Amino acid sequence: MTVTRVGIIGCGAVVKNNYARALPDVHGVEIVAVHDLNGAAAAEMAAVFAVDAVSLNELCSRVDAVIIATPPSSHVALVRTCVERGLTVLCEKPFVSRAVEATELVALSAARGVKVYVGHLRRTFPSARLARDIIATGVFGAVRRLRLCEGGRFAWDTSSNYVESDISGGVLFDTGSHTVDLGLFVSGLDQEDFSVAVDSVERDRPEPAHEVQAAARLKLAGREVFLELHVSRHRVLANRVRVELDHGVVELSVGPRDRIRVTGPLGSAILPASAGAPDFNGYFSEQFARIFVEKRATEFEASRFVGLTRVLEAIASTAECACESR
Amino acid sequence: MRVAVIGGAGYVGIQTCRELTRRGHEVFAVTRANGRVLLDGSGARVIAPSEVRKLGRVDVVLNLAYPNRGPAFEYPERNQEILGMVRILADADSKVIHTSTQAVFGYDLEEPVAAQPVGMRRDFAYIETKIELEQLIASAFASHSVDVVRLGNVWGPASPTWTAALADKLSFGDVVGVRGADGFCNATDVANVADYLATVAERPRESGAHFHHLAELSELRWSWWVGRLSERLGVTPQFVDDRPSYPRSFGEELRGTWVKHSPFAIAREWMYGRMSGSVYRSVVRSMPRAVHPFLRKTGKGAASRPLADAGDPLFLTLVSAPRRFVSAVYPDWIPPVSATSSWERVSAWLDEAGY
Repeated sequence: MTVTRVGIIGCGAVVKNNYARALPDVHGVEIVAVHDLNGAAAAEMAAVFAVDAVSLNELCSRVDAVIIATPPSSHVALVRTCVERGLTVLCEKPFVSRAVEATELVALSAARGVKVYVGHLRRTFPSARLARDIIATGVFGAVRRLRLCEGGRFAWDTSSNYVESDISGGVLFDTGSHTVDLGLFVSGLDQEDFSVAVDSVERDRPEPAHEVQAAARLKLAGREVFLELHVSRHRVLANRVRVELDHGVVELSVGPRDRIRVTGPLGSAILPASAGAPDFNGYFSEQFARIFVEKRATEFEASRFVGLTRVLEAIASTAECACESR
Repeated sequence: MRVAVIGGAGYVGIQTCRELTRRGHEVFAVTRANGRVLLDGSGARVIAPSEVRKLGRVDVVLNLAYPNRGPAFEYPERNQEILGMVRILADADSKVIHTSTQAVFGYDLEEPVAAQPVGMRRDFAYIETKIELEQLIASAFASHSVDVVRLGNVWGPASPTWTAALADKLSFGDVVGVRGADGFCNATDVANVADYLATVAERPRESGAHFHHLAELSELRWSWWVGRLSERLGVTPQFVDDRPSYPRSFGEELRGTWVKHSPFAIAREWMYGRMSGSVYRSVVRSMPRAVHPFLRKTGKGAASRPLADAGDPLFLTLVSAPRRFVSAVYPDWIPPVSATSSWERVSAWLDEAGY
């Protein structure tokens, strides 16, 4: 088996809590170096992976691929640097904060002939795949509205404090990127080109905000899809994606629950998804295996996240409002 | 009063900080980094555990924390850390309040329930942790003034363990009860918890250790809540026929283990079992510290593991509880939230939360 040599850039909470447990289970991936501007964090993860903590330049010279797990505002420059070095990139979510940056990085990677992926882990959940497959059959007609809710008491211990200091560290890009992505993925809209019109936004404070409610329209060729989003770090919300179609509704949890609810004109039914990973880190392992080993990860390719970035950017850049068009 | 709330960013902690602030007290919430996000707007001043020495004297130390991270075999160290924080904050004139749980009498309340100290015994990690912390704090401050408040199932708007979990189970067709075994809910509304804790904080100090039990809604059956939730969500609740139970003795646990098919499954059962897990944790603690890092993966989720890992069987044990956790509170305390208003609050939250 060919072994992919991987370097980790950024040694914060996700690396410590998830990668350190998930990566050792992935055969065909060898972590060879780590890098972080915080020397103590780098040393800690270097010890965990039994590798060297090195400079960014040296890391790039030692590896075939990188995982970028730094605060969001650093992603553009780091992805660009790594692509220019010819490395396969897996960038943690949120990818970037502006659609023009996403488009530029997609174009750059295509020009250089290297792959850039985005770590939207929930695309590995069996419930998400089942919902996507059902919607893709067309039995329920076209997607009309996405109602997306996700909230819980914030429990993430961040060493970089990006949730307070990074303009993309608010709940919209942090949690909301997951929530919106799940909605776009299951409804197939991540493969469509659309523009975004924001109808209203409420937030608890200027970005980075901890609670955001927004209504928007995704404008596709010849139709519109309504999107309602509510994400919070303060309180527990319904934590579900509800896709309303011409002839029914498909609902799934934002977590790795093994069932979805499907409602048609005459009633609703619970559908079981295939067995998931034994624990949450198993989904990380699956994502890494798809990208670095099996190399069958088209659903994680950066081009699939341009629309998502467009949605997030439009909401983030809209001042609090209840716009006239609503 | 100056009140320090350790674990102030939890579900109960946030409500309690708000209630204490509303009553005009100066509140210091001792929390991890996430507390700043969660307590924003609560009126409490957020303090990191490393900063408690700078706080100076406080009138009341209210502990809501318990070890809920890291491997289960390390919970005694985490308990000592919490005790250490209480010791730093409390002087001879401070009142100490410690919140605990009805689970110190067993998930099925199989131990005799009385508002008095509970002896240490082998049990699930969560239960051992809670019993030990009660004992540590009660004995350390018995010569001062210490109140141990054991809570029933904390229910209310956005309760992650009960309200939200039940709504999610109902929405996605999970089993929510046992047919023919409609258990006592043994619940307390979070607003009542906050009110009672604030009341205890304000009462005059009485030396010695005092035990309180709070489950003012315990006479209600789970069907009262499940029926309302199902109707509100427009779903049909799913039930099973047989009441599961967790093993009550080592022998019973061993007999259950033999039906596992693989050595891995048996080993896993042993590590997370009720009695065998307890023995496993004792054995690990007797080993040199140097081996602990290699064993951390085997014991993660110190406190939440039993509920989360045992999953539906344990949940079903709780919702089919044949025994009632009866309140033992100040006789003159009147809970501000009734069962009806508790449901109205939950119902309003369901609307806001997107259900």
